[in-house]
Amino acid sequence: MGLNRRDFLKTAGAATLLTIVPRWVLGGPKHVAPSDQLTKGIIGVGGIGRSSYHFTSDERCRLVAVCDVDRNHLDSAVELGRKKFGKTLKAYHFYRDLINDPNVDIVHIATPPHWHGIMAVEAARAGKDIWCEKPMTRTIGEGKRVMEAVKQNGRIFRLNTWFRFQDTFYGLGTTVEPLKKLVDSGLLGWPLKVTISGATGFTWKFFWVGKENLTPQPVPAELDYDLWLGPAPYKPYNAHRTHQTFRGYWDYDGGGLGDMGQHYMDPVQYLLGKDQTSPVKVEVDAPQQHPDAIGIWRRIVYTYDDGCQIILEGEGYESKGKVPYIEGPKGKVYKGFECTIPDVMNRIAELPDPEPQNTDFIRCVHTRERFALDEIKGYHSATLVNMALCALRLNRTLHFDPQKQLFVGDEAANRLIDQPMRSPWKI
Amino acid sequence: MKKLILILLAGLLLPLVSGAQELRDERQRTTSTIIADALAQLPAQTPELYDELMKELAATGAAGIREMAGMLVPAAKGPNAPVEYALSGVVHYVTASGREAARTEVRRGLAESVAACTDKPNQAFLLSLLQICSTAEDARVFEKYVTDEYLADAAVRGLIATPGSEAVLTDLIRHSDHPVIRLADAAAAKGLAEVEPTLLEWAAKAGDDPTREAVYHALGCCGGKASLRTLADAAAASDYDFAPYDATASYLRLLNRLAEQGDTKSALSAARSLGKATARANVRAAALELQLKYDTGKRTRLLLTALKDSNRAYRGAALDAANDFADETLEAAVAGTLSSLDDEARTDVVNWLGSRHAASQIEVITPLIRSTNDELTAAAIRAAGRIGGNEALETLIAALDGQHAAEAASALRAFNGKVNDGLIAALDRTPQIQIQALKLIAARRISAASERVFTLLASDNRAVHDAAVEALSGICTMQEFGPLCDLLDKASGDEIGKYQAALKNALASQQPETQYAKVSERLAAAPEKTRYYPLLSQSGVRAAIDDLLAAPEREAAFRALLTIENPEMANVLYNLAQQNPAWADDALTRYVDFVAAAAADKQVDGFRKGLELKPSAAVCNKMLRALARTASLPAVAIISPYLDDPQTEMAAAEAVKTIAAKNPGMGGETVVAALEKARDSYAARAKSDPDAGYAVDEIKGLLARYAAIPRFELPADEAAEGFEVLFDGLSLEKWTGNKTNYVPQEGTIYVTAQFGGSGNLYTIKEYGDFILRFEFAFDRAGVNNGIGIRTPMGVDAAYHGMEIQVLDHDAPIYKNLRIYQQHGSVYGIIPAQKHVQFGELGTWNTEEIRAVGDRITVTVNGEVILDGNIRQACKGHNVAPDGSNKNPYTVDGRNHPGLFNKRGHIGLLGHGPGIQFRNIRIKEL
Repeated sequence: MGLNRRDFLKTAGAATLLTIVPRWVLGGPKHVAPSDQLTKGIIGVGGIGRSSYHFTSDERCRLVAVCDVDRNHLDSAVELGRKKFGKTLKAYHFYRDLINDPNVDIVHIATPPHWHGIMAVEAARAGKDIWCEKPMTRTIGEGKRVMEAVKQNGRIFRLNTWFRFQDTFYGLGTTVEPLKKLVDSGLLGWPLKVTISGATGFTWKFFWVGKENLTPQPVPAELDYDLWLGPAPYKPYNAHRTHQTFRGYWDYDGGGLGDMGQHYMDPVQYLLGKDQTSPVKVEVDAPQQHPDAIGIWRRIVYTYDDGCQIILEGEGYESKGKVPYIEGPKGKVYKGFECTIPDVMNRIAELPDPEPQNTDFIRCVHTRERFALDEIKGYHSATLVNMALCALRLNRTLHFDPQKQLFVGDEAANRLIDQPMRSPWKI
Repeated sequence: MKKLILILLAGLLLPLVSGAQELRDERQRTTSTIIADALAQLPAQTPELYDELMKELAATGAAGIREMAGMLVPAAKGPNAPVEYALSGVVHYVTASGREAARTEVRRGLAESVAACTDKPNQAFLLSLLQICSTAEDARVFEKYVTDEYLADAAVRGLIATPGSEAVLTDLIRHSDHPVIRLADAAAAKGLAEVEPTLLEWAAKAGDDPTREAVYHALGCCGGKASLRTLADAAAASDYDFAPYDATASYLRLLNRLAEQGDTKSALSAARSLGKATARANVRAAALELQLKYDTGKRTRLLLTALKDSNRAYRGAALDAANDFADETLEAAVAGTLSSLDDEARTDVVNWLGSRHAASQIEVITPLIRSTNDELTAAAIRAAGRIGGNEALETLIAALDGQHAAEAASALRAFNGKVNDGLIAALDRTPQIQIQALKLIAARRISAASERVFTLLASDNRAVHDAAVEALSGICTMQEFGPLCDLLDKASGDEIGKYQAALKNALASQQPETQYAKVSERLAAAPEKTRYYPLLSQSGVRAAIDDLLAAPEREAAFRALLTIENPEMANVLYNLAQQNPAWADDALTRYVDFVAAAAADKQVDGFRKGLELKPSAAVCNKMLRALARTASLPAVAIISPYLDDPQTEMAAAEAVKTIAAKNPGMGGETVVAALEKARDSYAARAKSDPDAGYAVDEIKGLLARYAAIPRFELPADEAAEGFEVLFDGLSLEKWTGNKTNYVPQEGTIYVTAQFGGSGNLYTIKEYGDFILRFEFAFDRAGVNNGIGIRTPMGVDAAYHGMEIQVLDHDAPIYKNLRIYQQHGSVYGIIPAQKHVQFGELGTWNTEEIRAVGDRITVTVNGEVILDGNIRQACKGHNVAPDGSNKNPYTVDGRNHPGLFNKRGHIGLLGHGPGIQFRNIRIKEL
């Protein structure tokens, strides 16, 4: 029987202290009983994992462990932990050691995306709850495996982008909530066309392009390059492939679209009510892509079976006239919630707010309710990104079957859905 | 640089292809030529060009692929990118349906190329390409490299991706006398049932954990009943832990596959045992999930039993799994167990019913809102809000008075159903409920409640009164305008703002003029007029602006003016900023909004004026960012000084980078100097900010374009004769005037209208007698320009100096041209003696203008087209002798008072975009 100290505490608590309300239920900066305190470990502390947003530790969830394949990252994360929390964090080189650590409840995956799928699946099988950075997975197939493993093991999963439930939505100058009310009200009509463009307040970070003609370099002593690559095909080391610049390579991520695509499109998927489905078509207009280094694109158009569209306007695309963020047959909304429907704020105020979402991840871990952006919704918005990446690589329009979650009539595109991994890594 | 390399590469290949029998396309190009042509154009910038080039490359067949693959060199030895684009492009291209014949050729070429290639990384690259387009026939190609240490991974991945490779893989596995992780993974990926016996042998032999893990995984994916024991034992031996080889997951995979294939009996029996064998919640959850899925008759009982489990994660997983088959009956069964569960489990059930919107169970849920357990109460409130209905509404309204008022209120805000009547009725309940209901009524804009809300303004309960005041802004319409104004006149403290908010909202539905009229009327009679200023400003009409500008209460009026939405405010705010330094920052901050919304060609000037008023760094930065958005090249000159101030440096750097990126190669040395400074600013930050590092790279790329511009240098003879360069391709330092529309671009002075400037470009120096030489090209039909000579600045050179006509005179729009207007004429004085025939648009023409005393000679493309004497041409009468404006002595019949100027500037006299000048030089005589 594999009961560890923490399981024991929780089981004992449940059996003997039934009538005591856990303090976290009431919220606020009150004392949290040790048995209610969760712990987390972060894998990947070179970039976002070491940011002030994630490198946190509080009464509800303590940071106890960190993991990185770069010794310098690991050392500086431990040092940061000492300074910030006055604690010595457990430091791991190999992510499975962190996942297996019985003192870790939540595995926070902040590695480059080519590792997300494997780590999420394995964390689920190890009985851990999961906080995963965007983009959720690097391929559609890996996303499917994550969905299966999280559900099968009864885990709580958070994909980390948040605009569907909080914060002003980038350059749009509004939160998503009033947009959701407006869309649901039917005032704009149907189907809707959403344009994500510089003209509507969204910049695509096209500096995430890879470099061609990389020459081999010696691997720095502090980096376990083989483990950094993990499931990705072996390619001779060049610093530009790794830390800070990895997004420019197909083997690890998806360029500017991989970086911001899920941030920008996940809220749109929510707005359009497409959390359980996918488009039937993706069209791309882009310069030819290099087989290793990711380049730019001008325009990507997704079409759902009901005619709703998501349009991404990228580098070198000249928008014509004033571009609405959402356009329907009966009205348009521009940046800053400028709307062609008269008196729109009062009209939507009369309607109920959107259904409340479970936005407190720690609470979800306790109550075992699904998080607002769980693995299913996260899978579908990651699939928006990943299906466009397939179309970019093939440089052609692709058709998709939302039921089967496969491309239609394009065998090469389907080979990009499930990409074999470098042994011994598998998912 | 790229092209040079390609030529070299193509050159190297020539011996390979010459002499042999050759493919030639319809343009009589050999394979090598087709490839060289394609390489020069790759990467294809448009889908159309991509399709065209890839079609051509695909047509070169296996030979073409071999030839291209032969160009790959070891990465350390040179750039491979052009060839990689070509190979990868054609491989992806032929995978589209309808291109099967070409695909066969490409596959063959790749297979031969892998064999011929001697560089391992390049071989791996070629195998990865084959992996994209392979068919069963290629399995043998991959097979060759399965034992190659470097290529084994690429080979096996290729086999996995290739449909129909099963036989080859099966052979490989059966003939391997020891377990091979890579092959086990391949078996797993392909689900090779045939290799189960081998895998079982491998399981017995596996010596280390990674091998065990791979073999167990493969058994989970390919095995049948025969593998049950092995995996069950392995899972037990690892105590059902994820470590050391994840056997439990493999075991569960096997069970699920068996069940899927119809052997539910074995699967269910094993799952039941597994569920009992461990305390690990996730493993038990997985075992239960399988049972719930396949043991359809026992589902309800299994779920209800799970709900009594003490482990919350397990209960949660059970409920989540039940979503796959739940219906109203199951919801009722689950709700029926509520009384037998502890509060935590009840909470889970209520959360579940709520997430399912289980309307039939609302009667079970609402009583729980009154539970003594906080978590359960909160869950019941959320569920009631989600489910909706009258009973839920009543209960939630009652809950507004109590510990969970906030949760009840938020449930009501999103309540699934109609709440208006219920909330209005709630205004008659306890003060706590009244307060919460007032907030909701305001949020939902329930104007029908206004009468009742006004009554509550008189409430003795201070908190109720405050809530009623607060609610007014949500519910008031113009019907309440009068009473609200009365309240505003009498109000004090915070309430003033609240009544103003209510009035604004009521007015918002009216036309601006009506708003203004209504507000003005009350304002005239108001004891405290400033209270109406914000209302006046909301109307936004010009009269409101004027009233506020004239208002005696200056400060309050200024604050109100800042909120006005009216494009005319740009000027108003600019003037206010000029008048009162204390207002400058606030006024200019707002000014930026209006300028940014103005027509594109007005913006740069607007921001320039704003910056000249020297606002604070924060406002400067706002303007610099706004300037960046104009993408207007002339803005760079305005932005440049801000690169030197640490407080504005980064906004300026970003702006310069943004603008230069939108106008690549344009702007000459002004832009180059600004980019260099911006690059240094970013470089100083690159260590701590990765985006800054990218910015440095981006700027370097932009600068490279300017560095590549050839600088014009005088030919030896002209240098010896004493010519002076006026424009060398990059620098406009010898010029002044309209540098907005005359822009250095890729070595030329390009005339464009896109930046909205006006006027002409002049030499700074004045010239009398001279030889002026230059080249020009039209890039659109009908361009009209001119060379002003001996002219003052800022006047019409044709009359106040001289204009040597520059005109694309054969464009159809000029069919009625007068002869003194054709190209090369001294405008209005001496018509050109020859009609120049210009080449196609884009053709460069050379021109020389020689001005010596009264004699003007114009030579175009080596041919003298005008040689005449201006004094003789008008018989000395450049102006009419009778002082009138009709001059019979000039060919255009007009006065030319500047014709006999001794000296003056040389000017480029723009009349619209579409002409380029280059290599401008002059010799003074």
